[in-house]
Amino acid sequence: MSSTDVAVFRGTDQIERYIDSLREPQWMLDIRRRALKAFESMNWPTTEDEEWRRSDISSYDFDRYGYVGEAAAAPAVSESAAPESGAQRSGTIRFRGGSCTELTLDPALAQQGVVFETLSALFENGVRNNSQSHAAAVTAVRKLLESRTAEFENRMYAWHYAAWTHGVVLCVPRFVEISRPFEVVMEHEGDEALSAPQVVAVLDEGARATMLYTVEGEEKGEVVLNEAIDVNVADAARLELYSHYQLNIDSSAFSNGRAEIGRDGAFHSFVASFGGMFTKLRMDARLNGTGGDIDLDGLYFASEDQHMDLGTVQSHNALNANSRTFYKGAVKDEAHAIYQGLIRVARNASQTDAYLTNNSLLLNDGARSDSIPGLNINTDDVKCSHGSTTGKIDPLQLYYLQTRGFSYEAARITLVQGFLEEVIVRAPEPVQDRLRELVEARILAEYDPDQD
Amino acid sequence: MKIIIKDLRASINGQAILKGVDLELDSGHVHALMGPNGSGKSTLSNVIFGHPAFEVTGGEVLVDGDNILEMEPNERALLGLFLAFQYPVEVPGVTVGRFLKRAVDIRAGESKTKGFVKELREMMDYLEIDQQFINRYLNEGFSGGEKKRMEILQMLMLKPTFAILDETDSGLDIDALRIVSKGVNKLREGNFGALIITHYQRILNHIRPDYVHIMYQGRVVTSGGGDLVDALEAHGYDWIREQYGIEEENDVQSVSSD
Repeated sequence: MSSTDVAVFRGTDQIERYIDSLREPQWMLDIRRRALKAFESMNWPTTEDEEWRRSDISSYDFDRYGYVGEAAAAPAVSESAAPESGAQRSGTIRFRGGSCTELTLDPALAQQGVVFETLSALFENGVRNNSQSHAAAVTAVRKLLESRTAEFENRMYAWHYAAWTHGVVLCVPRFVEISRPFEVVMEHEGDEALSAPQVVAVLDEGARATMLYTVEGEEKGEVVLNEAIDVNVADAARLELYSHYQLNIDSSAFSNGRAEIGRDGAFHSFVASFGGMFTKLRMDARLNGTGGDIDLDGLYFASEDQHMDLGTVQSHNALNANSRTFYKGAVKDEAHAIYQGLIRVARNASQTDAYLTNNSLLLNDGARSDSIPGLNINTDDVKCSHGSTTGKIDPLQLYYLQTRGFSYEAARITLVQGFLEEVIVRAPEPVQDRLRELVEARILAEYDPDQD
Repeated sequence: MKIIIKDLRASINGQAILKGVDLELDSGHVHALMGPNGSGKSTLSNVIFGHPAFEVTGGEVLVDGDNILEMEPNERALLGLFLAFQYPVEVPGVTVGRFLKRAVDIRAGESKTKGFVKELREMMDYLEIDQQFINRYLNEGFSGGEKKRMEILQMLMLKPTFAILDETDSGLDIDALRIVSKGVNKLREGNFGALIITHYQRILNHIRPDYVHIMYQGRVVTSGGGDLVDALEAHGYDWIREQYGIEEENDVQSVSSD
């Protein structure tokens, strides 16, 4: 099913025409054109660049991919529908390819000024309607994206901001606290398709929310995902963001996450990486106000010949802030997992408390894992630490479980699940069992290297 | 269940530990296996279960006539054998409750939810284990005594036909020893047998053995009734050596696993 693949634009030389075709506010088009200029002046990252040293993208021909767009046949979802009664979600947005196929939002939340929309709808509503909350959301998104695009770290990011294809936005007004999560599902489809979603979450002062974001795809078809997640957590606000990646084995994912956290604000990111042939996911969180708090959790399971490169940055730019990164994963078959983590402490960020931990479990010979933690500390009076381990299943633990009747396979599953459990319990409650099941299925999946 | 061990020989890292063990065990009786450190007692229990570090170099272990030495450890367990470890292994991330549920299901060959939690709570009460342990990761951060009690809890839940207790008494205070013994004696009411491996006589005051076997330098040198414990206590292991004409072997070192 790639009927909704309506790519009109194919190739990076078409980005300008693509931008010209869009109906967006002038400031958004300005960002795109600025990004395009940067894109044209830069080269693709190479293995000479430290961050890309272990992830070689030189074999990609990025001109091959057609941009997914909104399909003409997609159901019109102009008005927010209410979720079914008794729903476990505050709202749901579902995309198939570049088209929104479902959009619900609890009307009570809409009444309180919560905006949960596709970006294209926001731009239209914000301009057309006299809705105050939409106008405020547009302003907030503009402010965040303009500051985010003041400079571009590399050509991949510039490409995204020039050519992003579709997106969602969650804006929660001051002191609105929401316990039921917002769900965003992006189902990617097509072949040789570039999907470049933009996810924006803005939490105003004292607001609280949880977002469950799932990236998945069809069983076949090569998709290149180049997404950006931009988050602003204002003073005393708190966002929990769960991101789940499960593209098919022909696809690639590049994700660039950035969160700005204000005074006493808190940001908890949980990244679960399962899919894709080639994956590079980065979450960069910045503590800009006193007393802020970051938790960056990650769970990865790489198997077959997957390449997974996960990165985190904990930036301390203010006093008395805490950050903690905990990435744990299993690597099987001929897969290669890479974790790069950085703690950066600015000169003025005294009384910082930061640590990062990365643990990998290799399930067989031939599986590989690299862990590269780094510290960049520019002040005294900090508590920073990092630790990383790479290990194998302990034969004594295996034997112990076997003496209790567990078969070799059952014992392995139990031990790997146990290894990952420490991070699974940090994921939002509703997804924990799904993670346990995925882990079990991955351990049981057989791999035939000659299959392709 | 009848377990017949014939001329069993095993080594670790090329060093021979078991040098021809002959021993007959059965359910319905409690056997004690005593001997000095390094005599091969723990090695024997691990070889019976198929510990990957040991290499069997000869002999056989027959359970009701079938040689089990080629079986996987879990297949041996499913025959109704149980091993209480001298040093129980920590399994992070796996809660006691989840682990025991799975183990009991495997033993039963089906998933039975009915009655499991009730029985688990009763057994924990019986062994004076705090109910909070259900949600703790198996053996992680447990004290020595808590680990040993957890082994006995597993034994009570799995209801083996024959259990080997490998120095379960070592390091236990008198209170913990009493509780552990209570657990063994509870199973004794049914069709159950055990091999209590110990260096000391202490635990045997709580669990009176029907038979006592003495191991020395990789062999069982003598077997007898419960009164052998008293003789050993009175005269020490040197008495055994003199009694059975065993000469000191210079090449035998104390093996850490024993």
